[in-house]
This record gives sequence, C-alpha cells and structure tokens, in this order.
Amino acid sequence: MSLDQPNSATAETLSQVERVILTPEQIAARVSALGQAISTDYEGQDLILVGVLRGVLFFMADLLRAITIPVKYDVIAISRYGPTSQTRGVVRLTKDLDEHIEGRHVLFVEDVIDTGLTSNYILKNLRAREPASLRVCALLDRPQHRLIDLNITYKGFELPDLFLVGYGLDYQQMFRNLPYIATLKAGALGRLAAAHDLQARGDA
Amino acid sequence: MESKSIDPDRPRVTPVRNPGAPIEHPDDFPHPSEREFARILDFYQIPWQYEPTTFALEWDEAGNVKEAFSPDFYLPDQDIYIELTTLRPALMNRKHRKLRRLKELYPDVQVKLVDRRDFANLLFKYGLEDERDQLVGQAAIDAAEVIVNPSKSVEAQNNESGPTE
Repeated sequence: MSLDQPNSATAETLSQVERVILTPEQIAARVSALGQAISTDYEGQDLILVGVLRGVLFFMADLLRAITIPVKYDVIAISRYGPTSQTRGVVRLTKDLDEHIEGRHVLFVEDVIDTGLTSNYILKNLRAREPASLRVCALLDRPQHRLIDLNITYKGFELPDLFLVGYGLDYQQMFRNLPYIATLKAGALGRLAAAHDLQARGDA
Repeated sequence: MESKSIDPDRPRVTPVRNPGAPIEHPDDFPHPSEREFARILDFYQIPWQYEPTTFALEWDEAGNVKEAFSPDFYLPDQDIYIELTTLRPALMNRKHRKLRRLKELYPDVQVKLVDRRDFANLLFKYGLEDERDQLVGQAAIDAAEVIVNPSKSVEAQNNESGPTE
C-alpha cells in the first residue's frame, strides 16, 4: 500500500516511514476476530475494558466497536521511567480509573506488550481491587523482550524484534495517527530526534 | 585434573546462597549498567536481589567446584533469574555456554539473558539515548539500528482468530 496516506503527520515525518508491517485491513480483520471472541466469552457478564494511556486509544476504540455485547471501558495512566530525576523513583498513577471494578469482569487492554514491566504493575494494581476476573488483551506481543511473564488471553499479532510506529505506537509522540503499523528507515530515529531537539529549542 | 560430567538424573545440586553484604539499592552497584537496570526494576516495583545464588556448573574428581555461575538478578515474585551483560557478541560464547550448562543441571531454574542489544533497546524505550551511548557503546547502538531497519522481510506471524489461552 502507499505510504502517503492522508493524515496530520508532516511530510518530513512521513518520509521516515520505511515499510508497512500491518495494513489497516489486516489490523481491522484481527481486531474484529478478537472482538467476536471476547463477545462470546463474556456473554451475559459485566465486562469492563481497561486500557493504559496513551498508545492504546486507537486499538481500544476499534476493539470496543467490534464487541457486540454490552461493555464499558475506562482508562488508567501511569508515569513513565525516563532520563530525568522527575521520571525516576517509583511509578505512580497519573490518572486513576473512574469506574469501580470490584466484582466485575475486567479485560486489561494493551497496544503492545514487550518487557511486561508496565503491564505487570498495572495488573497488580487492578488485581488489588478484587475484580471478578482479570484477563489481558494485547494487539501486539513481542515475547522476545519479556522480562516478566504474562498470560495474554487475547493476542492480536506476535511480532519479531522491530521498532514499530503507527496505530498508537509512537516515537517521541509522532506517528501514532498512522492507520497502519510500520518500520522506520535506518537512521530515522537520529534524524527525528535532532529535528525534535531543534523544534524544542525553537519553541523555548 | 580432568573435569567430571554430571549426570542430569543424579540428585539435584543445591545452589549456594551467597554470603557477604548484599546490594540492596541501585546506587550501591559499582557497574552503571546494573545500576540502571536496578533503577528500572525499582521504578516498576519489581522486588529484586543481586546475585543471591551461585550455581555450581562443573566439579573436579574430588567434588570441588571448578566452575560456577551467579546470575546478576533474582526476581522473587517471578522466581526468575536475570543475567545482564554488556559484553560484545564476540565475547559471549563463554556466557552462553554457562547458561546452557545451568539449564542442563538446574532445569527448574528460569534464567533470562538480557544481552547488550536487549539492554540498548531497553534504554532506548525509556528515552535514555545518552545513557545508552555511555553504557553499551556504539556497537550495540549499531545492532539496535537493525531493529529499526530490518534487512529481511518480516510479516505478522499470527493471524489466527480467537483467544490464545
């Protein structure tokens, strides 16, 4: 498929995309299948989907619309480990759930699971709220990166060791809005990081 | 003295609990890679122990331990050991051999290797590009670039529908 899909990304950013790994059609078909399976498994149950911001929004929105039984959703956000003293220390919730999940069937939804560190923390947090059940649904799984083992009940695609962008996956907040999942050209990260720094300096 | 091969069916060898003052805080690590890794574990509230166990791998005829291996981290909640290394791939043969031997002798013990490229990717994931340069060097960054720009065609591998449980 053509890489120059109409969207809000700049032409310069788009030019860094190398190759589409998953087309919108492939993603849609898989999300539809996951939605059907979830609808069957949770028929007659009080189901709530919980996602962790920000990358999951795209998958969550499509998955919710593929589910054919009554379902609610909520989102949670946590701080992210990073290079500054503000992003070290201990992970904390930056947005808690608005819904109570005690006694309800919770499906934790992730766009991608690699090390399992984030998911493990959130699952522990959710489990402490005593839901009736707690399962995991991930669009993308990169098991070769796993440090903490997780049982993924609903899995979209198992992908090899690639840095991917699009459909919620980002590099420095860019590329999330691509309708497909793609790789970047060699050296793209360095060029984008330099452009990002220049822009940040210009904004300052 | 010639080394003696161990029959895997013989009674299990007991790993040795390491004596000495344990490292309990990331700042205590002399090696910056281990320090950064411990900080990441602390951030996500993953309890860890540093080199709590030594696994004997080879014995001489008198039964003395000739070779042993102490994986860097133990995660008690997951019951898994993690060996973190920033060695260049060319120097990894000995490490791989030890890991294979450990798995042969202690099949119930889970050990994961986080190698130079894995660690470079982990640092990249958390936006630690500067730290990556310092901790793993250019060779690992070059290797990580392969991940960004794979030479081989890679397609999604799992297209079957339904849950995977």
